[in-house]
Amino acid sequence: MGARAEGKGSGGEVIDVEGLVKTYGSVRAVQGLSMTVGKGEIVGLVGPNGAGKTTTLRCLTGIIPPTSGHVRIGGFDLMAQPLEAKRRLAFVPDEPRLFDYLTSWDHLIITARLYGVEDGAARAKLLLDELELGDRRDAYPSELSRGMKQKLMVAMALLHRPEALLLDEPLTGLDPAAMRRMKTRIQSSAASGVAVILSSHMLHLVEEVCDRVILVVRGKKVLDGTLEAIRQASPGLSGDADLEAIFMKVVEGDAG
Amino acid sequence: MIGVLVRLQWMMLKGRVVRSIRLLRQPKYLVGFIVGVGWMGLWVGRPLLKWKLNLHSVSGSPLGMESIAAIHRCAALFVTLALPFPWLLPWGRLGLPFRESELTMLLQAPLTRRQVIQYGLLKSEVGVLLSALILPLFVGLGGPGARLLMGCGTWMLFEFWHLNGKWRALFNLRQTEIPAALARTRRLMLTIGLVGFYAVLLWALKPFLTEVGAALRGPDYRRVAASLTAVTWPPFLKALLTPCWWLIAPMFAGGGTAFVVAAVPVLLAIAVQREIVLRSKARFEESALERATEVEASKSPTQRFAKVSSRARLKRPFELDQRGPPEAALVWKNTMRVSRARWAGIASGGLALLLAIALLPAILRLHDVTFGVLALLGGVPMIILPLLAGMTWNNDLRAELAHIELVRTWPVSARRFVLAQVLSPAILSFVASSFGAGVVLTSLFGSRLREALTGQRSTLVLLPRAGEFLGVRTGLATVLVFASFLPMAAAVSFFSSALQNIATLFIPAWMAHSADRRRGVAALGQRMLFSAALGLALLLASVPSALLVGAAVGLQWWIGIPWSAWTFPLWGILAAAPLLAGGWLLVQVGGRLWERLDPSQEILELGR
Repeated sequence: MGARAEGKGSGGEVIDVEGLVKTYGSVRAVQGLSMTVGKGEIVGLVGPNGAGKTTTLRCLTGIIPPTSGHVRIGGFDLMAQPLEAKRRLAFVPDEPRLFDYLTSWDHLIITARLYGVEDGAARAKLLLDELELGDRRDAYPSELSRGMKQKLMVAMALLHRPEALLLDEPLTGLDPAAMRRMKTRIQSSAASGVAVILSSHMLHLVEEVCDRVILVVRGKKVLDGTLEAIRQASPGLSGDADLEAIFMKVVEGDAG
Repeated sequence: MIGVLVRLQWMMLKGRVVRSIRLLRQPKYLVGFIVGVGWMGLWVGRPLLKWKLNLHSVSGSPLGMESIAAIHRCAALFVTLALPFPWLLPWGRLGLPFRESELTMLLQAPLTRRQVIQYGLLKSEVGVLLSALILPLFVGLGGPGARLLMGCGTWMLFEFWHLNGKWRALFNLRQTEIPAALARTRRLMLTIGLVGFYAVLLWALKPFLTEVGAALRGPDYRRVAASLTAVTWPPFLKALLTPCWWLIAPMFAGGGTAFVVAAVPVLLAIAVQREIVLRSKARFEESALERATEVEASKSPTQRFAKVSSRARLKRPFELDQRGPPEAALVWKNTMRVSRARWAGIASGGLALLLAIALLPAILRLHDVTFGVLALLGGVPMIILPLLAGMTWNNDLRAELAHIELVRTWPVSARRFVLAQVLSPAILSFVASSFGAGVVLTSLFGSRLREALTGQRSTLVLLPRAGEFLGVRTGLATVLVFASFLPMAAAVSFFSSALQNIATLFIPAWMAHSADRRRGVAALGQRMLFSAALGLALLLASVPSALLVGAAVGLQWWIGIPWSAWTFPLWGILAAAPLLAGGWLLVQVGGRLWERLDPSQEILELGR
């Protein structure tokens, strides 16, 4: 098992996952995953296709119920106190699923109302401008590009000032400039105290943005720690090995 | 190489079949499939069953040879008129229909143009063959052998027609590619030729049509049929019809040998036409890609919303306050799936329309039938919409499941979430039903107003002898009947919507509404089964209402309270109460189900 480093948010864990298991029939998609994400910490969730990353994120957001285990968001158990837990989290799925019949503005307004955001309209306007969607306020999703839809999902996620932000492939469909701005946005959210889990195949992004990396293979956590701690704990890796090298070594080793 | 393309088609077909069969492992799909197949079997098997029950007619057709010859000639006339007609039109489909994915694969594969066109033609073969074989089951004559021969003959006609359509589509496309002057000349020559042909045909038809007209004036249908059979076909007309007479001859061949003789020239004609299509110089690739994109876009449910004007996009059904129950916000959202029109605007528009229905036809002294038609138009939605509820509007859980990754993260309690989903279509159904009731009521009053204005007696009276039994005037009794209907409409809308949402949670794969909505026999069976179950559930749910109203009526009689129309609204409320309570109970159950729902991959993939 890899090294475990203390995150920025040690002592103030916002996301606390304990023994998470999710099975589909005889398939164990997630096998006893445990992790914590502290306040202001950005954790990268990486793994090969079918490793169980998306399933983990779906369990963490209450979209699918876990078979066993506990998920606590801001100290509230997701199964026992779902409303309290959900008020504190936000999820940006890999595929933006927006309502065909609502404009960008409608999406933000209903989000504000459901989360009870007092300054919903003002904040919606601010986020639209910040994410360069100001002129697409009255556009339907069918009139938005993939990247714009992704930005709108991010705006909806940030609208209620979540304590925990879960992002599944957030840079898909974004142009290089938008990618840069999105990275900055994720980092500034963390700087303001938000606990972030970022699932991505873009290892350079994870390396650049995340404080800690969790590598999942076949539903099991195989590495958890800062890049430095992982390097030190893994014999046979050079001192300057990047995440890709670590990933390949672990995944190929697992396959072998 | 064509073998590879046939294999590709076969694999695609096989994939679809295997996917459907895999779904049948789940009992819910299996039941739907059995019901669907049973239903289809009834339609397809009925003619065969009829044949078995009438063995005496196996040897031959019940129609005489003369009648068959006349039908053959009439069919040839129809084909002669219809087949060349589209060539007169310069618009229509251009090129060949391909899917975007097919084009992407085929155009970069090492295939010749001819092979790609062959693939395009091959694609439609299954459809042509099925339509040709199904038709004789319904309209064929004689036993299975005769029907099979007729099916083969029908396939030849359809295939020829289909290839002719492709030829025309490629010709029209080619017209856009060649120099404009040349295209104009070709179009002009074609038009002159076809118009000339139709002119000659009509001229040849004239004496024949006169004779047919006279035959149709016979005293009874037997004489008419006999006269029509005996109508003489002018030789010149027969000559004009000959090519198409040959084309459909295999359909009317009496036996195996006659069929072979008739089929040979038709197969040759098909082969020639196929060759013409395959040798077409039209550059179909670009137009096919354009068309594929258009088709994909037209299939998308988002198309309808993209057409909303920028002004209309600013409209919302009602103002949404920053705070308040989540149900209101969800109803606000779901209503916009149907319309963004303001509720206040709809209410005032509806009232103005009702006023117009009551006054205008009467003032204009229109016939009393006008009010009857209006009452009927209002009566149908008044009764049907509360029963159908969500089926009409599709703005409940059925549509919401495609957004499960978003809605499940909302901090809304499961019970309140389900309640909002139930209320969204229920409110619309109730409002539309009430409007229908309003139309019926105002039509009745409009009719009375007309009576007062014209002095002509109105025939449209709901309770003509109300005064004798109900102690009130007819007009008031009518109003009270409608007042009793409103709580029932509300309750039925709510209950029906609750049932449908519960069904969505129980059997989401059957109910979910998404871009890739399933079609086919299994889906048909599922829909039929669900509709029958819904009808039965509504019928059973109405039993407590009937008992309650019956008890109230019995009590009134026992105590000796005189009959009065004033009790109608109370009966309406009593009838509505059990349905509302049942609906409420279903919402609680639905809340629990939503809470515990473990969405399968199938649901998570909806709308992707």
